[in-house]
Amino acid sequence: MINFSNVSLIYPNSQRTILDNLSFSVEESELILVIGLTGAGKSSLMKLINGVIPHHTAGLLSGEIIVDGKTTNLLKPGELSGVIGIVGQNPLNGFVTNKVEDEIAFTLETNGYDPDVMRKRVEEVIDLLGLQNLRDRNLFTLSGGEQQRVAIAAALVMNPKVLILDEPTSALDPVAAEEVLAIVNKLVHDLGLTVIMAEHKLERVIHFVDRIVLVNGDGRVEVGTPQEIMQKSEINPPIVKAAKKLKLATLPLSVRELKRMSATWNIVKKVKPDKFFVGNDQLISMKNFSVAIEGKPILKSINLVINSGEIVALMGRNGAGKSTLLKSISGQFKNFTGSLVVNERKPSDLVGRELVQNIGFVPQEPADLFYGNTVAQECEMADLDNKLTIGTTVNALHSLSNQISLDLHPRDLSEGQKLILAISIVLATKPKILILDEPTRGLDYQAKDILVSILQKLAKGGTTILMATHDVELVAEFASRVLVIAEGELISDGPTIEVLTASPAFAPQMAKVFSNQGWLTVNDVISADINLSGKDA
Amino acid sequence: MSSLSWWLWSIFLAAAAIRSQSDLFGLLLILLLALVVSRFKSTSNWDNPFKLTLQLAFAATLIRLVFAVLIGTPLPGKILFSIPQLELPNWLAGIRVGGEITQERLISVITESLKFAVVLIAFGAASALSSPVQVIKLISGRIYLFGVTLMISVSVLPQIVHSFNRVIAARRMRGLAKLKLSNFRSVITPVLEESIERAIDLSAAMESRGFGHSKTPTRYRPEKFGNQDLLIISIAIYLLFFTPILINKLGTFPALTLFAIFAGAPLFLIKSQRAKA
Repeated sequence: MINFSNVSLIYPNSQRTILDNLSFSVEESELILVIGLTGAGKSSLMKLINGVIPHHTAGLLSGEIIVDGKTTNLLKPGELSGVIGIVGQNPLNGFVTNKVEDEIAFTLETNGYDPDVMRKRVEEVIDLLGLQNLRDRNLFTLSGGEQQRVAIAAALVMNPKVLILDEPTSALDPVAAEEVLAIVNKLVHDLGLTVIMAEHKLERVIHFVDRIVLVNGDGRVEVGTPQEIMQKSEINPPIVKAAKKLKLATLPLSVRELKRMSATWNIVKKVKPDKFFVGNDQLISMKNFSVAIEGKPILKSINLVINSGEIVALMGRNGAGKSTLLKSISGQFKNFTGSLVVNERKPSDLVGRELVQNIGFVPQEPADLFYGNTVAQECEMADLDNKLTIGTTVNALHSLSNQISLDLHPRDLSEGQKLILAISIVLATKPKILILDEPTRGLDYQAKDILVSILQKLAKGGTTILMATHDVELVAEFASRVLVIAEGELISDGPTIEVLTASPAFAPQMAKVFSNQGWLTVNDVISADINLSGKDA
Repeated sequence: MSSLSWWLWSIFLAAAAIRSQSDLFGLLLILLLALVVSRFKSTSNWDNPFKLTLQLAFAATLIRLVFAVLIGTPLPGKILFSIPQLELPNWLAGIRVGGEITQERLISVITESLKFAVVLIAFGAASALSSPVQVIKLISGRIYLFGVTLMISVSVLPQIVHSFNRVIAARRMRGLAKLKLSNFRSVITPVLEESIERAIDLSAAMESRGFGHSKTPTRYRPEKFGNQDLLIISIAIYLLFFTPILINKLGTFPALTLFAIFAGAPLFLIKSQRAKA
């Protein structure tokens, strides 16, 4: 179906080789997963397949890519639009029209299809992806999962042979992610579509892919079965990480496989996870707190107390009100009912210096904070803005990571590095509370590990942390307490272990495998004493 | 009505109002446009472009008034008030900075601004009534790069407004409360960088989806250009040509009444789309 022969790719003005002499082929109806650290070249590899690189985005390419018998060297991406459907990392950025139905029909229109055929095709994909109720909606008002489904529908309407998905679930909550991945699975199995998909959250996809392409970032690319690649790669989902630590002979890929293996194990000593330190003084207190935006209730009488030193994770579906809650606590809303006190003050009264000394806020897009030309300049301007002694922010940055070059443009940093830079700008003023709004979007495992260790260090130093996230594995690693919001109401509030194990949608992999043991993370499992040889009498 | 008809209708009426040489026609048209927009507003728009152009027109009028008071060529007439005048060298005779402000000066500025406002608001009304994307698709099938450029500018605009709000919130959280000219860079830089990224993403997506690939793109649900469209556009053209003549023959107020009835034709002729939705 797709054949790469001796493909090499470099970008102009860059020293780094993205792909070096890559040859492999993808069979018809295969489901291929592309993995690698952020910035390694996953997106580049996928854009090569339909010729967006080099026809649209510059890139120096040698070798040949043949898709369905056609070479991309000679064809423009538009001429392949009937063979390849492509969904970008952020579907909203690729939407051309305003309405769901128009968006789905767009590719058919540009290719000059007959109106009768168009009507039929559009109906078919609307049925296939379950978009009946959304067809007249404005694209901007859809949730993340709905947008992703519309983008997939718009790509499928041409009846392509290949579907390319670039991180389809990175912005989605666990439930919406399951929906999208179930659709991908159905497309491969029922329609025989060839799917090539990049994804960071391996635990969501690894058990149903056929082969994995590992992009190392230095030009080397490895292709193999999930088992082979997991053996070699450092990028592992919790299941594989646990299996490697336990030195299992065969690597399990799904919860089911590990659970069946573990049925015969003898767990000698149970280990209870450490208790986190929690202070006694109330830092945030909300009573009957409600917010309505344009007459629509977003938060409904929230009652909440957060003490100093807590690490709180805020979970819930897209659009449930997580961001609104975080913005309220950081004083970005003035129109609310009920009471809200943060560190004995009303947060909406705080401005400037007082604000940044109480609340540090890292927005969803860390880059919103940046306006310098280099990292060094960025830090210096942060010092000036906050009236700190020059060097404070750089020192904060160095205490978090030494890996970030001060000469780079902030936009050229990887997602993880951007986040660390944003955190250090915010931390330089030593706020009492650090608030992060879904910071793990687009973060790879390595960046997540660094983030977790940073947050734990901060918490030990007494900073209270409140973070909205969809990433259950991350929550299991770092949070002491979990809040779940649904439709603007606080439906669950308790210690991480209780909340995460109470619902299958939020349970991390280790909790699913070792149910009733009270373990959430790989560390919990390996620090227990497990006898693999079996239950001896 | 089809998107194109709304555009033609509002452009012709704006031209008619300007040709009338009377402020009353301009004001009346703005009122009528507001009525029509409130009834037939398209649901596929990202925001309220009509409101945006109203605000813009108002701001532009204010700015012109301020400048008319401060500088300009002197216009003789009834003096309303005066502010201290700056002495200018002889070779700048005919220009004043400060000095006496006459009623005539202010009225002429308002008349001029109103013309500008009518055109601007007519565009705002047209974009509120139709979907600009539909119109661009209609005219850009053949001119590929022109189409891409227009399409990107139309779709990036709402995103710029969105990221602007987000960045303002973010920089408040960074402790930069007041928006000053000196730190305006902290807003503009991230907004522009993001919109460039978005423009590149969008043009890649359009390329991947074969935009401009076929010389004869077809339409899914083509908008019907019916008798009703024809009638309403004809009325607008009629007004464009005959408004000055009507004023001459009938006098301002009877002509104004006729103008209101004919320009308001969509209000009587079209059933509200809301009822359908």
